[in-house]
Amino acid sequence: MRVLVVEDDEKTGSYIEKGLAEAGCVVDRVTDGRAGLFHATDGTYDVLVVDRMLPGLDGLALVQALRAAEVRTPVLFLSALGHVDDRVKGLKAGGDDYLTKPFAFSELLARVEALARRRSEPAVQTRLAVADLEMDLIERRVKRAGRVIDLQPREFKLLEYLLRHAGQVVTRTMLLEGVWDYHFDPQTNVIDVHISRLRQKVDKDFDQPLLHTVRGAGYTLRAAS
Amino acid sequence: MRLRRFLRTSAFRLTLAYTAVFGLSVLLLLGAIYWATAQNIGRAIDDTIASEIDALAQHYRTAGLAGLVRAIEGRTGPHNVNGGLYLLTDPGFRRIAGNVTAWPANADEVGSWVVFPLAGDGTEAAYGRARAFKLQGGFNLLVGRDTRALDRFQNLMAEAMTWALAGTLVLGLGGGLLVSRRVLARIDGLNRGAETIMRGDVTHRMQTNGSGDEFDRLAHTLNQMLDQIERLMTGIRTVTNNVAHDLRSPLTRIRSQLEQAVARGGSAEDLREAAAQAMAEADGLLATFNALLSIAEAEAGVAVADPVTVDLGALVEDVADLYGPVAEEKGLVMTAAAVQPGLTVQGSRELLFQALGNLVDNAIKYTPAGGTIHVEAAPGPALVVRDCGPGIPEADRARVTDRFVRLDASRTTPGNGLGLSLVAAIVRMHRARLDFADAAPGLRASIVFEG
Repeated sequence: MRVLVVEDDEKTGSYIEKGLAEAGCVVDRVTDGRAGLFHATDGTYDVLVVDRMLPGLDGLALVQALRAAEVRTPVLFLSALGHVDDRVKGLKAGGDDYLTKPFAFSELLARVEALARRRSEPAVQTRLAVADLEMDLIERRVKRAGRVIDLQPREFKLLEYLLRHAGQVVTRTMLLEGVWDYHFDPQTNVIDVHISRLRQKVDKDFDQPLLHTVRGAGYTLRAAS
Repeated sequence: MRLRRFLRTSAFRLTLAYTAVFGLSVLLLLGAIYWATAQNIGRAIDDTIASEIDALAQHYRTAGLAGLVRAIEGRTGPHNVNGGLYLLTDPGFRRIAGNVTAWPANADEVGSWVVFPLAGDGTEAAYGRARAFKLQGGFNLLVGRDTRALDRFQNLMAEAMTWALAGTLVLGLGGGLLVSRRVLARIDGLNRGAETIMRGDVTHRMQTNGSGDEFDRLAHTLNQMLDQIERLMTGIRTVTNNVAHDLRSPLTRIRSQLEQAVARGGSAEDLREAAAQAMAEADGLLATFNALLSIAEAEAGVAVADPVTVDLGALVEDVADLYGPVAEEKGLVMTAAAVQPGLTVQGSRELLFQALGNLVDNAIKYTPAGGTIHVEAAPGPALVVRDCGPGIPEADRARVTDRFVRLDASRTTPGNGLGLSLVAAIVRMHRARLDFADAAPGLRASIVFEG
């Protein structure tokens, strides 16, 4: 996976670069908006990580210019202040996701991976599956090893989100965003309670657990390796 | 130096300008009086002279020249106290009778008014004002008045007015100086007070004298402002102390965990476990920082930047949906309702959800198992969370929204004491009100919006 990091702060930039490289990404890093635009225009990156405040050309203008040039590479905005309207502005300008500093690296990695995946997955899916767990999106039915699992609507949405990001780490914040459509750090164990209920239904009666907790990061849905 | 400073004060300048305007108006007033008086006296004299000429002409017509001479002599005799001037001459302007020695050279036109010098007694310039009249038979008659009395009166008046004006100016300036010195002294007092505070004595206050005048009110307002600033400063200090205190414990724990891991060594699994524990502590720290930042952010905004229409009923439903399972886990019953459908406010959906979520989270935390929690969107419009926990004592209701305030002194329940601070900041941002009331038993927390 090729990632371009446009970040003028030396510490944050090298922290992101190092972390992503350790996670197996090929990372290029530039420190100003113009260089970022220049690098991103060739369109060979899978994900762009762009700081909102940049010298030369600010992050919003950079992404607007990219979108105007028909470059569709997914963009993750970074911003020092998580004003709600900042977030909306970023998404309106053509950003795909938004992360507020300070952030945990696991959060950034999970989001970068989700963005890269989104790009490659087919536009319309009617069926999602991991191991022997399958979800029919049209009939809104979930089966595991051929047995129907009865889910509440919210549990269904939660499982759908996890299935769409199967094999990836999803953070609690991402779940709150993706399933409940609220964007903030929940801080309490609310999401954990929902996950444990889902786990009761999906994993309890089966030998192979699919829904795993990733300590310090979040959750992942995958078949045991 | 003092004088220069004094001359530069606005009080002095105001006094000067005021004195000038006042002096000018006094001058105009006195001038008008002077002019009107002089005019009146002059006109009265002229009228007397005209009527005397008529009377003397009458004498001449009825009693002839001899009668006229007699009349003139009678008037110029010892009874002439008004300073009357009379002269009767033959057609050749030779004097026949009267107390003017010679026909004035400039009285050549009959019926005209003339002013001519008199011999006088030498002490002052003497002038006469007279009218010439030609009688039948070529005789000339001159009737006038000595103007010395009038001139003296006018001089006297002018002198009095000059004194009055001078007095006005002196009094005005002097009074102004006194007033401005007093004003200056009060301002100097305020100035010195401010300087004392700037030098570091933050408990110093402006002096008030209880008179209730403008300066007293100003000093009072300044004192109130200083009190408010001191309160805020104390608040910031408390927060800083609390931040330091609340962050030191987890940092110490992280350090000792890492220290033990380093000292003990062990298998990779053991080290991983120790690192994971440290990470969890660090996450807690990060959460506290994030909460502080969110509060600061909400407090920095005077109003919501991009308000949208938020359906309170939907908000209540969402909160119940997210927190319902948490309540159930604890053995609580949570009910949610929109008392009235279609209740909306302008604001931030995210922040209001967070605020309501925090209230519900608190309710879950403090309600004992088996209890109930009710969330509703009520007319007002308002968001209400009712629990049956221990509630908040009346005395503590004002301070629970301060940062890091936790009512359980032992701090055994999880939490960082920032939840209600964030709620309060979000509520302020929405120009709403956060109320706590007794639900007997339990707490009734409500966010009431301006209708």
